[in-house]
Amino acid sequence: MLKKWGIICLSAIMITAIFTGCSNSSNNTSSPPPSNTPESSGAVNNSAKNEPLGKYDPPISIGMIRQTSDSAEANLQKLNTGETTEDNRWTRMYEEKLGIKIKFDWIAKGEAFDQKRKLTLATGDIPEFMAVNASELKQLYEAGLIQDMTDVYKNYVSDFAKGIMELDGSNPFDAATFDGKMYAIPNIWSSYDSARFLWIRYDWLQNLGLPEPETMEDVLKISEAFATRDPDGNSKKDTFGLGANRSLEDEPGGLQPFFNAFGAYPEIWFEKQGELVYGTVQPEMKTALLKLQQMYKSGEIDKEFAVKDSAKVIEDVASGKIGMLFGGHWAPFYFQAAKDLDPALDLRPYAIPGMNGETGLVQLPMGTSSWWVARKDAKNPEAIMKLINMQLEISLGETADETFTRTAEGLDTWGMSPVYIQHPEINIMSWNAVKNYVDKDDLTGVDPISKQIVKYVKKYKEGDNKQWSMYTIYAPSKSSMEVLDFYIKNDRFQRNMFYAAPTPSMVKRNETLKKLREETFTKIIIGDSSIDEFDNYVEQWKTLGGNDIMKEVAEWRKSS
Amino acid sequence: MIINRIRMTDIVVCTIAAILMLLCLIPFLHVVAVSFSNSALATAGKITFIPRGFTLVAYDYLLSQIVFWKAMFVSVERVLLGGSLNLLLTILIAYPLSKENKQLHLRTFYVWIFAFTMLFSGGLIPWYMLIHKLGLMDSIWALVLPSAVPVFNVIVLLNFFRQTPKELEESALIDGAGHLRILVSIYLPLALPSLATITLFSLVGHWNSWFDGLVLMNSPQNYPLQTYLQTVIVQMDTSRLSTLDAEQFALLSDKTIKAAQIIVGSLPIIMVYPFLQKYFVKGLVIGSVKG
Amino acid sequence: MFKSFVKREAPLHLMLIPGLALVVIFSYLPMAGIVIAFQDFIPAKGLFGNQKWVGIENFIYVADLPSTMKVVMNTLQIAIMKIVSNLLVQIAVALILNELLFARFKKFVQTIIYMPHFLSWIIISGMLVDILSPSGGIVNRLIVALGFEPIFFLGSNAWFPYILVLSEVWKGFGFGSIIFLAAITGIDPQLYEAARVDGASRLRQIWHITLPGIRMIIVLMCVLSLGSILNAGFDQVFNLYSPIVYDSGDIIDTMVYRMGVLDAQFGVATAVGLFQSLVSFILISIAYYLAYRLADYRIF
Repeated sequence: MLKKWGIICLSAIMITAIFTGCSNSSNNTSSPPPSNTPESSGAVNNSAKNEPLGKYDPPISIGMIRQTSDSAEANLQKLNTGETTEDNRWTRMYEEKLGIKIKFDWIAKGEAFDQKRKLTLATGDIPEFMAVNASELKQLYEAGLIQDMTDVYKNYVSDFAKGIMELDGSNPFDAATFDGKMYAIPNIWSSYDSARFLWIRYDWLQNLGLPEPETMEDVLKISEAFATRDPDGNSKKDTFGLGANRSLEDEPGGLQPFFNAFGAYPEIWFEKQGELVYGTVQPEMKTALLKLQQMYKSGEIDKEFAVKDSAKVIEDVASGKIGMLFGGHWAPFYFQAAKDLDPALDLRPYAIPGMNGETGLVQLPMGTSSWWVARKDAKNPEAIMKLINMQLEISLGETADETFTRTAEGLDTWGMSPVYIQHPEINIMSWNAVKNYVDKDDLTGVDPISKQIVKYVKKYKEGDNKQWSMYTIYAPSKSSMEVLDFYIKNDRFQRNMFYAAPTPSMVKRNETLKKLREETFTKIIIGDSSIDEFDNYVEQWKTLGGNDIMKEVAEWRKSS
Repeated sequence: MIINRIRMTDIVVCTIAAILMLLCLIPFLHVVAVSFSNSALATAGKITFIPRGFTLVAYDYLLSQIVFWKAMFVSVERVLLGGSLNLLLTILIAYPLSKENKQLHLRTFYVWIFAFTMLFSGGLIPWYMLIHKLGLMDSIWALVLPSAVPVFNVIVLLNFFRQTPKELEESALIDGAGHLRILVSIYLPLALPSLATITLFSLVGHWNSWFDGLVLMNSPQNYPLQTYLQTVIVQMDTSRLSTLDAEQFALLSDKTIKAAQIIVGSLPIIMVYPFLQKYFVKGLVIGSVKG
Repeated sequence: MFKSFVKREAPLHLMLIPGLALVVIFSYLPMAGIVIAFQDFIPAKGLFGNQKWVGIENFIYVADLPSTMKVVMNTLQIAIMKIVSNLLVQIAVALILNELLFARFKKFVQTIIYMPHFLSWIIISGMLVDILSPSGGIVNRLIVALGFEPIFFLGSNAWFPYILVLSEVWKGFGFGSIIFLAAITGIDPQLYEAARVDGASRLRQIWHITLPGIRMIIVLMCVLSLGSILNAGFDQVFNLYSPIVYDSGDIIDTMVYRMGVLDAQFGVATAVGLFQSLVSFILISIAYYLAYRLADYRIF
């Protein structure tokens, strides 16, 4: 349905573009057309550059900054085509098709990019276009350094791009809206991607004759069994019931989804009786913490979990100590080593269940975490919109070109584009493609991104065990995508209803409140504090800044 | 009797030295073992001191990255240039400051001007802005000039210079020698151990430095080695991983590659030290006066 | 008169000029940025932008935080323990190495013990978690073998500071002893000869000859280390600490780091840095003055 409309609109646009392009060239013989005079002969004189995918003639040059990564560099080297981060098929295509030449003020790798970006902001030397986070966006707006992009989006977004970008709802756009005007184009990223799952070793379930869990109570029973009944059959008491990471959010192992199963949603804001409340101080947290305390005491949770980070959790999975833990849909990549060492390992994803017959909801932050801004003096702010239009078209549109996502030899090329919007439902699309095409040989009709996925799954089925991770994510059944699809169809999400930049009190009090939370929760779980300490925590949270924060969030809600 | 006792102390000393060595060597042995091991076993934490599933894959990957060698080159360039500049400046500053106050007016004032900079700093932002405004970004000078005056080394060297016997200088002055001659023919030869020390400090400082490379270079092609290694050993924000990314991430967070990086990133500088050790000659000062 | 000045002193002043110029440009010019400590600094506005002046508000904000007192005490405690331990161990190691007769062996040992300096705390912390693990780590296996209960070192407020100190001493003693070894080379070998002839034991030689011989450097290192009295080692603590040991392990720099997690807090961070610098400056000045007055020795 979407595709059909997309095709029609795109064709209409392209036809119009061709016509206006033709008429523009015939007008070039007359006196130089002042492109800034909207009154003069309407659409005919306003060249193709006013179209969502129209080309600038003469070409324009814009300034940006760029983040690269080790994998991107490694790919460029393997490709051996002489392409670089600054000059590659994507940048050349943008120049050729849109007349936009991109000049990079600077390029940085990995974490360097954020550091340097912050410094660049502080020195006031911002590039013409850049992607910033919510706080920086707010600061730039308040300092009057960026342009109003409301009309840019309205007038220049292609229908195809619009259809994709608005799939994640209006929140990413609202987050960039101040005083009724939108000051940035959201760098859309899928929210679904952050959903967490419960990963359980099915082989251990079978060893102990346990059924797959339906409720949280089942999960708790499994945890006890894994810790006490020697699921790996090596006669040693060396297995834990539930993997745990020292941080709530980091994965694999972060316990955030555990709380979700109890109806608690730490660190996000959601609606309760008409108001936005802060998840971490709700009573449901107490019930969950009590259970964790018991599980720690009984040895189901690693006594050293508080000093173990993701790397150590992965190590414990690989050495057969953990049989159940929470993780994202891509968690199998972390467990490939474990699979290599123990081919019997069969980690399967399950939906987060609920307690007491309640439906378990998984908490979901907003996927979009950066926004494209245009400097106040940028002459062609719509250029960024055109780049986005073109990127989506070449990645997923009618004129999509596979070599711009991945080469035939399997090397990534999508990362070469300085602009990249992720289709919010791309993973489900890929999963559907796998369902429909994995047994077929002819993959025409599959979008380029999903095509790669289908190929990987096929490889696993043909015996390439290195693709186990891809298979576990995208297989038609028993895969993370199947569970994600289940989440989406049943709306099993508790979204974060606060998606603006942190409020002043949040910033001022964050260190104190975060420390308070970490200390209180960790001490409760390891049994150094009684569970009633939680009530103290709630009171302290309120007086040490929580009250101010709640006020500010309520104000924000009213005004947005 | 005396001979016996000497032997006893020798044994004690040797044993202590051996224990210290072992304590320091063991972690390295572990890292080396991991770098030559099978990746899955390394991830499971099953490597202690011997490689298991011996493989050169990690080194092969690392050393085949052209950017790695570029970064190595930048680091070598930086160490040589920065090290020489440091040495030259340290000597030039420590010598005058090692004189007495009556020999050099405003000496205390000068020395505090330098010492003050060791303690106070305007922070990251003004430092970054300055280098930017000076047009040094992306050049080797950005890595070498800001730290050109290593005040700590200056203070150390000036203290060593002070141990040079005054008689030598006085007789040279009587002979009509200027300060430059005195510095070069008297002070420097006698200060060899301390010169070797501050040279080592300076070389190591430049080699290990990664943060300036991170923010002062406009392109990853210009990163010095440690910056390059730092940006690989980083924890990615997993919430922003697309599936295609995650695969690469899993590969790069490979423990064996990280281990290989550590070995490759520290071996060159570790090997520099033995070469400087020959300058730790005893009795230089005293011998000179006698002669 | 003037001529002798030109010959005697002018060259000295001239030698200082390049250094002074560099230091003025690269250290003093940026120092102007200290004013950020007195502003509610918003990065987007830039350094010379319309920043709001808030006087000492940043300082008061930090001072009022509930954990500040404890954090400062932790920092002092850990830093002082480190300074003292480092000095003692580095001097001791230099003395021991000096006694090694075989030059080749001595060089070999020196090189090996200086290697841990090059391992990052990220790596070392990973290793420490394994070594100190209460369930199977080497250290605890030893403890259990001796008949005691295993100790969760990294999770105990009683032990954590000592682990910090011990691991840092281990990491840095090889590198740190170099300067003392260099100092020892300046001692007259004949003094040892004379002492040996008089029948003095090795220990007495060390006590009466070596130690006094490197006295100046020891004093120097003591004083200079006062410069890091409020700097307990961010990298190390950050990689090793966890909420259970915040009570004893949280230091000023980790607290400042957490403050910047949601949104860069340059004003506050600069204020804290300024405070740390001031304390170091005062202490070093006092030490300098005391050394001058009491021993007629200018440390630098």
